[in-house]
Order: sequence, then structure tokens, then C-alpha cells
Amino acid sequence: MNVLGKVARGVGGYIVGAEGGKSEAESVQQYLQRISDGDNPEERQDAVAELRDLLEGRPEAQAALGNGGFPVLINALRNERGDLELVRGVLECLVIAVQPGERESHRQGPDSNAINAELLAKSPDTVPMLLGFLDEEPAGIKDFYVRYHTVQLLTALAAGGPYRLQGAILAAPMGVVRLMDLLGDSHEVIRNEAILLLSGLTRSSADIQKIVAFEGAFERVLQILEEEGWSQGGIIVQDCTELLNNLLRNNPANQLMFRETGHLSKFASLLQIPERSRRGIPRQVAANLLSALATLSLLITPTPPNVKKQDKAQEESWAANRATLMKQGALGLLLALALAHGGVASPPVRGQALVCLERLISAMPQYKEALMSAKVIGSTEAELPALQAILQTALRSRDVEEATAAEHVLQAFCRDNAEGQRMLAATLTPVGDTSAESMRGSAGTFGGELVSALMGPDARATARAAAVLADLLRGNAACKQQVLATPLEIPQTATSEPVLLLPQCCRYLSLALSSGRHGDAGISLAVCSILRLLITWAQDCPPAIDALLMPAGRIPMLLDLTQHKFGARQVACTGLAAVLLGVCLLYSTPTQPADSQQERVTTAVLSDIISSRIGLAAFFGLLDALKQDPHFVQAASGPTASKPTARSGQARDEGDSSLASSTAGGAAGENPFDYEFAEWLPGFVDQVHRLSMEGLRRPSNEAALAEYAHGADELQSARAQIVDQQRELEELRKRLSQSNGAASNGSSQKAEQEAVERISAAEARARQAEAKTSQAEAGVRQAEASTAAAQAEVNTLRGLLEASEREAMQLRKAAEEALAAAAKLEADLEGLSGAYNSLETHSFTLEARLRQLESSAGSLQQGAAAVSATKAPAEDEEDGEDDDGMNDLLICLGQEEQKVERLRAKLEELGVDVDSLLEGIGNDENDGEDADDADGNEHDLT
Amino acid sequence: MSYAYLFKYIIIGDTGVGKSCLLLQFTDKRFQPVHDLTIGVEFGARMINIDGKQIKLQIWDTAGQESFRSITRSYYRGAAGALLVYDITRRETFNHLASWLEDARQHANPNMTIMLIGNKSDLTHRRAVTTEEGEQFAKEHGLVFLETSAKTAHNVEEAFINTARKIYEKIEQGVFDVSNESYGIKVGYGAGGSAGGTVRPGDPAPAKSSSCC
Repeated sequence: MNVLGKVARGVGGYIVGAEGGKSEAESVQQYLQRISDGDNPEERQDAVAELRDLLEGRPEAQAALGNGGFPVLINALRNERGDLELVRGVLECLVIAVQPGERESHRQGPDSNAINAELLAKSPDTVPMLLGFLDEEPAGIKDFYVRYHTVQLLTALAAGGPYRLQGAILAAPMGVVRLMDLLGDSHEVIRNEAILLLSGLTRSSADIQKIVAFEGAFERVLQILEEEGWSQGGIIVQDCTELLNNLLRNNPANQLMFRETGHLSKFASLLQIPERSRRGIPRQVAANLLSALATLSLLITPTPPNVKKQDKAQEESWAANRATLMKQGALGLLLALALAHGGVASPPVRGQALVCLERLISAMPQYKEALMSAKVIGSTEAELPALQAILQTALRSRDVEEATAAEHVLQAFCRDNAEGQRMLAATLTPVGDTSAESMRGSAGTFGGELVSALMGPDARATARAAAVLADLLRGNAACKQQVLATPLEIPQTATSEPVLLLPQCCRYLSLALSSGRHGDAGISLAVCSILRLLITWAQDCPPAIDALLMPAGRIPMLLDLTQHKFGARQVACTGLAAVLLGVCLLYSTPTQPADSQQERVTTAVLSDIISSRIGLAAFFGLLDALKQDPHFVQAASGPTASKPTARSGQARDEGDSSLASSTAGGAAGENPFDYEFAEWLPGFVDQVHRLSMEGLRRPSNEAALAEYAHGADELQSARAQIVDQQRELEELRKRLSQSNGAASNGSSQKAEQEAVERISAAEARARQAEAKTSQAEAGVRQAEASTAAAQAEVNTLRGLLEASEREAMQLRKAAEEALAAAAKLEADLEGLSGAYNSLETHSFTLEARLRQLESSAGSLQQGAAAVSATKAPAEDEEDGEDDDGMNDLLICLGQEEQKVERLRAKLEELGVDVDSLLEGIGNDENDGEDADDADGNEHDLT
Repeated sequence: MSYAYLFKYIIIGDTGVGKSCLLLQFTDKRFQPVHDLTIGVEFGARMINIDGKQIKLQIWDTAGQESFRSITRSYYRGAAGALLVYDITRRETFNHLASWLEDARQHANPNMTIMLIGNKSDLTHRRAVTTEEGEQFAKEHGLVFLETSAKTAHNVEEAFINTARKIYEKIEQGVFDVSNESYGIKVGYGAGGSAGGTVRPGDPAPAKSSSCC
């Protein structure tokens, strides 16, 4: 009672402020009280029922229940488990209180249901007790509603605080085993809830994943999938597939079990689709297929290139999975999903199927061969090679992700596959070659479609075609040469020149320069893509460089490209143009061959042109800017790993993402870069950098270079000097503070001297440094002057000199700062020594005064001695009769002493007046200048 | 891939007695002298043949460390066989057998077949537990006993296969309700039978094809 009262007050206080919260909290408290104290079962049952009605849809009441109400309900569950009505009701209340509700996004504050879930899972007895309900009788409760709500409650707990629940379930003996039994529950509703619960629990716990797999989850899940009609089923199929994904993700042991037990072949059924799926598929079916493709992707994902070290077991597992899946016909299934008759009527599903296809074949020559010989019925109902169908998707898909995925399949196919590249390149036959066309039928050839897209009016298709062509040529010298010579059109007359591919690409670029459609995202994307094609082509292929640079007007065009305004893709276009020039520089012939008919563009000539027309600094600036381009940065970060998805999101995502990618993801969203290019670029820029520095060392530039080197050396030493000096100053400052301390102790002479010495040394050094700096400056100016003479490299050196000037400026500033610091130190020391001097003067005068005082004291003592000398005989003679006289004398003496005292005091205060006074006294007594003499006199007298 | 029966095994025993090496020797026929500590549970599988019947063994190799006990216990109930392993060169691993047995008796199904394994029999010069002691313990607790060496592969096949034979005998005797998969036994599609329907819990084991007679 009392406890409850307190709880209620606490709850009330907590809820104040929420609208109507107080009364709700109070009601909650009243119901709890009735549940715990009710006289008869009926009353308690009623209270539970009313509490449940109150909680439904009222977050404030739910929060209020969490705030202290759980112990009451848990107690009721524990103590009155025979009362089924009560147990059902209490469980329902708990479910409502912890189930993540549809919260309006604008609501502030923490999610009270998540807090409730955490609270409930935290109490150590709760989870074991709930698991107990699910056990066989007599330990468990057979009632359907009790079991149903218990599973619901556990699922809600898993959603609210998965780690706590995972821990509690693992700690309970046979915890997971009991949950697994639920998959075999005769009630479908409970089975379906159990799928969700297990999915939630397995999402992040490898231990639970393994136990669930051990308990036969794979068989059971596949069995349910079959009962539900595989991909054509409802949301249960999606739930099951997600459970499957959670069991297999990054878990080689479970993957091995899945494979070894023959489940993979059954799983393939999930990817089969009926014929009618081409026309249109329900959203749920698309979600099911996406989820199944996610499973496939988990099973075959090879190590992405950006992940350096991978678990060896996982690597082996992926390879084995791929081998098994290939045997199970995964290739055909994926081709059917992505391509056959145009593929499934869902762009995300087709795109994901292509992603899986890429992963399936990548780095496996025999799988690539299988893909090369595969044929599909295309969208035009004609049979064509699968690779050509993939090309069609890459060129024509309106869904960017799908097109990119298709291009990636071709890229993966071509990587380290010279034979495949050669075969595809061989299909680049002349357009209008009717003999070839008639043989291939209306579908055309791979090469024919590629070329017509490259040269066609659609900029986006051009861009994608250029990317595919680059895949065909990458790293394959033979292909590069072959395609250089392949005519695109049969010459009309025997005398006319054949139309070749590379000149066509260049023509596209020059048209883009002159078209004036600068802001067009499609055009700039195509420019990027063609530049990347040419970059790939020119690498390690001097004939391609000749073909690129030798015709008149090509070099000016490339130079124009580096300075053209391209709108949104400005940095990418100009940067890639610079990369292309760099590639030409790197792979061009160093010297003019003696036997050549035509004059070729040599490295030296090209280098001169670049430095005079763009300027080396500006040239490297373009390359650096390219590395900062957001698309480039994104590409450099590499592919992202797959992550667990939540059920609710996926079905929605399926519908939305297709929309999103086709609108926002248009040409503007396509990335002209990929991970490989991003990896390659920095090393390449270094190479070009080295090459151009070597170019600077040619004879005409040597003088300037030497000057420059000299200036740089000077600067270097001056900088070192200044660093030294700064260190010295630092030390000085430290010593100064020490000597300050010493001076206040009265013995600072030495420290002061030392400080002064150091200051002057510092000054000297500062001056030296300044001199050095000015020397350096002079050197730099000299270098400037001589560089001006070397006209070809004027741009670069100016840039470099500007930098050195800036450096000199900084050094000058640093020197000035150092000087200022030194001056300040000096001033400080001066002040200190002044203070010391005055202190010394003061102590000197004090000393003098002391001496005077002592001498006067001496004369007084003499007087006193004389008195006692006269007094002694008088005593002897008069035997103490002359007391009065004696007293007078003593009084006189006392007065004298008092005077001395006062004088001394005055001395300390005023000095000058007393000085003269004392001097008067001193003169009266004797001329003794020091205390020793006075002492001597005293002794003499005694 | 088709099999007449599938048996689930677990391998239990103290840490460092060679459980993972036994599994590796059995599934991959190789010995790995340096082995990482097993975290949680690892999985291995192999097909064997008993009386002309293909039997698939699924083996879960558990971590021996105390901290994983609550996790490994979850595997007891669903296993048809257990290999309880000790190290003949470390007496304490033999002394702990009783506590492992108690754990197994508490959590496993009562019909689980337990094979007692004295591993590292190649290290005769460091032997700390005699063969007779092992035999005696096995006899007292109704276990089957073998000394093995995961290094030389001595008796490794026998350890797994004899256990399977014992389970198979129990099936023949009708000890198990094989339709209940929670005993760690699953009835397959029989050798040569193409993948037909699935076995549902509660269904009778698929009758051997009679159409060919």
C-alpha cells in the first residue's frame, strides 16, 4: 500500500505537464492498486481489463505504467498464473506498454516505450518467467492467448532493447531452444509472431544465430516458405527471408551448414518467378524477391576491393557458396529475373539481380565463360546473348541503379579477362555492314549497339557506352590497338577515309565545347565518361596517344577542355581533361623517332605546351581539385557493406526507391568515377609530378633551377636559425623568471649579468637571423630574377616562388616577432636591473646610516663608560652616599638612550634630518669613521 | 547430397583437449597444431556410410571455456550424439568429466549417445591418465570409450562412426521417435531418391519407395 502510494505520487509528479496526464497517471495507479489488492479474482480481472483499455493509444498512460508499475504486474503474473483471464490481460497491458508505437515524429522527449522495454527486460526474473510460459505443460501455459501475448511481448522487448533481451535469453537454460519450438506451433499466428521474434533476436547475436540454426531453423524456414508459395507469398515470406538473412549474415558456420545440408538448392526456388511476372508484380512480391536477392548477395559477396583484410573462413565460405549456387543454376535464375523478356517488372529487383550476377561471376573465369555463352530471350522476344542484353540494360535503363549494376556486370566480366574483352571488341563491326547485320538478325550485335549508343543523340547513353567501351579496353593492349583501327562505317568510296572510333570520341568532345549547353548534366556526364574512356585507352598505348594528339587542333581542344566551364561537373570535366593530358605526358614517346614519317608529339613538346599554356601549378591544381570532387570522394570510399534491414522498411522502400532513383538520381546523380579510378589517381598524379620535375631539369632551366635551389637552401637555414633562436628565447624567458626570483632574494647580481649576456646574445642571434632572412630574401629575389629569364617555366616557378616568398614573409614575420620578444625581454631586464640598482642604493645608504648610528652609539657608550669610571671611585670614597647624583646620571643616561632609540626610529623613517643631527653628535665625540675605531676607543677607555 | 539419416553431434570437454582438432581431422583430414580458441560454437559436416546407408553428420564443436557454458548448453537438447573429450596428458581434464556428464544429463535428451574420448594418445611419454582409468570411467557411466589422436588421426574416424553406429542401432531398435527432430535425428530422402517432398514433424518417416517392386 505504502509503496504504491509513493509510486503513485512519483508517477503523478513525473507526468505533470502532459495534457491530461495527471488524471491518467492517477487512474493507472488506481488500477494497479486494485490489481494488487483486489479482494476477489473478478475485481482484479476487471481492473486489468480497464487498465488495458486505458493504456491503448495513450502514450502518457503507458509511460506512467512503466514508471513503477511493472513490479505489480510481474507479481500478478508470478503469483496468479492459474488465473488465465488475469494473465492474458496483464500480458496485453505489458505488450501495449513496450511495443514501439507509431509515434508522431514531432513529439518531443524520449520514447517511453523503449524505456519501458529496457526497464522490463532489465528485471532479472521477467524473461525466464516469460520463457517459462512458453514451455510444455506443466511448466508452461497451454493457453493460446497467453502464448501469443508472451511472444508478442518478447518481440516488443527485442525491438526495444535487443542486447538486454539477447543476454537474458542466452542466460536462461534452453532459452533459444524454447523459442525455436514456437516455429512448429500449430497456431499459425504464434508461428508468425515467432518468426518476427527470432528475426529480432538473431539480427545482432552470432550465438543466437548458431543455436537457432542448430535447432533446425533452416529446414523449418524453407518449409514455411514453400507452404507460403515462395516468392509469390505474402509478408510471411519476407519475414522468413529476413530471418534467413540474419542467420547467414557474416556467419561462416551457418553458411556452411546451409550449404552442406542441401538447403541452397531449395533456396533457389525462392528466386523462381512465374511467366506473368514480366507484366507487373505486386509490391509484396517485389519485396520478397529483394529480400531473397539480399540472401543470395550475403552468400556470395566477394571481398570488396576496399576491404583489405577479411576473415579467411568467410572468404572460403563465399567461394564455396558461389560454386554450389552455380551448380544450382543461380546464373540462369538471375538472368531470368534481370533480363528475360525485359526482366521482372520492378527496377530495384532487376538492379539487385544484376548486382548479384556481378558478385557471382567476379574473379571466376569459368563463371564468366558461362555468362558469355548464356543466352536470354530479350525484351523484343528474340534470343540474344546475355551479355548483349546486359549491355542494353546498361545503355537504356531509366533506373540509374539498374544501369550502373548492369555496367558493373560488364566491368566484372572484362576484368582480367583478355579473351572476353577480345571477343566483345570483335563485335565492333562497321555500321551498315549488311552482311554482319543480316547474320545477327534485328537485335544487332553487342558492338553495334555499343557504337550506335556512343554516337547517338542521347547523352546519357553516350556516357554509359563510353564506360562500357573503357571496360572492353582496360589493361588490354591488343584490344586497344584493334579498336583503334576498326572502321565504324564502310567508306562510301574507296578513296574516302574510314570513320574510326577515337576520332569520333574527340569530335564529340569538341562539339560539347562548342555546343554552348554548358549546364547540361547529361553532356557533362558524357564528356567525363569519354575522357575516362580516352584515359583508359591512352594508358600504355603510344599508338592511341598518337591518334589522339597528332591530328591538327586536338591539343588546343584538350587544353580548352581544362579551362572550359562545364557547370555542375566543372571540376570533374576539367580534372579529367588534365588527367588525360597527364596520361599523354606519361606514355608519349620521349624522343622523336628517326624513321617516323610524321612529326610525333614527344614528351618534351607536350610538357612545354602544358607548362606554357596552362602552367604547371594550374595543371596540378586541376588534378588536386579532382581529388576533392564530392563524386570522387564518394567513389574513393568504396562500396558499402550490406546491413540488416528492418521488415517494415523494405516493402515501402521497394516502391519508393524506384521512384527516388528515377527522379533524384537522373544524370546529375550518376557518378563518373568508380573505386578503381579513385585508387589509381593519386599514384598517377605522383608519377606525372615526378616526370614534370624531371622535365624542369633540362639544360635551359638548369640555371634557374640552381638559383631556386640556392634560395630554398638559404631559406631553409634561416628557418632553422629562427627555430634555434626561438628555443633560446624560450630558455631565456625561463631563466629570467628564475633570476627574478633570485633578485627578490637579494642576490641577483650574477643572474642579472647572465640574463643581460643572454639577451645580448639573443639579440645578436635575432640580428643574425634577420640577416639570414634578408639574405634568403635576396636569394629568392635573385632566383626570381633569373627565373624570369627562363621563359618556358615562368609560370611554375612563379607559383613556387610565390610560395617561397610567402615563406620568407613568414620567416621575416617570425624574425620580427623574435626581435620584439627579445626587446621586450631586454626592457624587462632593464626594469629589473633598475629596480635592483635602486635597491642597492637604498641598502648602501642604509649601511652608511647604520655605521653612523653605530659610531654615535659608540660615543654614547664612551660617555657612559666615563660616567661609570667617575662613579666607581666616588663609590669607593663616599660609600653610596651620593645616590641622588648617581640617579641623576642614570636618568641622563636613560634619556640619552631614549634619544638614541627615537633617533634610530626617525632614521628609519626620514633619514636626512637625523643624519645631520647624528653627524653633529659624531663630530662632537670623535672623528671615528667606522665602528671598529669606536670599539677600539671603548676598549682603550676600559 | 541425399542421405538416409542426418545426425547432429556435439563435441564437449575442457578447453584445450583438442575438440576442434578432432573435428578438423574428421571433416578435412588435416591437423592444425596451432588452433585459435573456439568462440562459442563452430560447425562441421561430413557424410559417412553405415551398412550401406548414407548418414550425414552435422557436428557442432563447442568452446570449452567456462564462460561459454550457458551458450553451449543450448546445444545439448537437439543433439543425437556427444563426444565428451579429455586430454590424456592433463589429469584435471579427466577429473572434470563428471561435471560435464552432469551438465549433459541435465540438458540433453535422455537418449543421447555419449562417446568418451581420451585424446592426444600420440603423446605417450606425457600420459597422465591410463587407458584403464578411461575404460573404468566409461563403464561406470555407460559410455562408449576410445583413445584418439587428432594429430595422427588414430581412431578419429572410429570415434565419430562408432557413435553414429550406436545411434543407428538405437533407431533400428525403435528407441527414438525419428519423426521428432528435436532428438537430433532427421530422416532423409534415402539414397538415390530424388528430392521429393519434405518431412514435416508429425508425418511418418517417408516409406521406402515401393513402386519399383
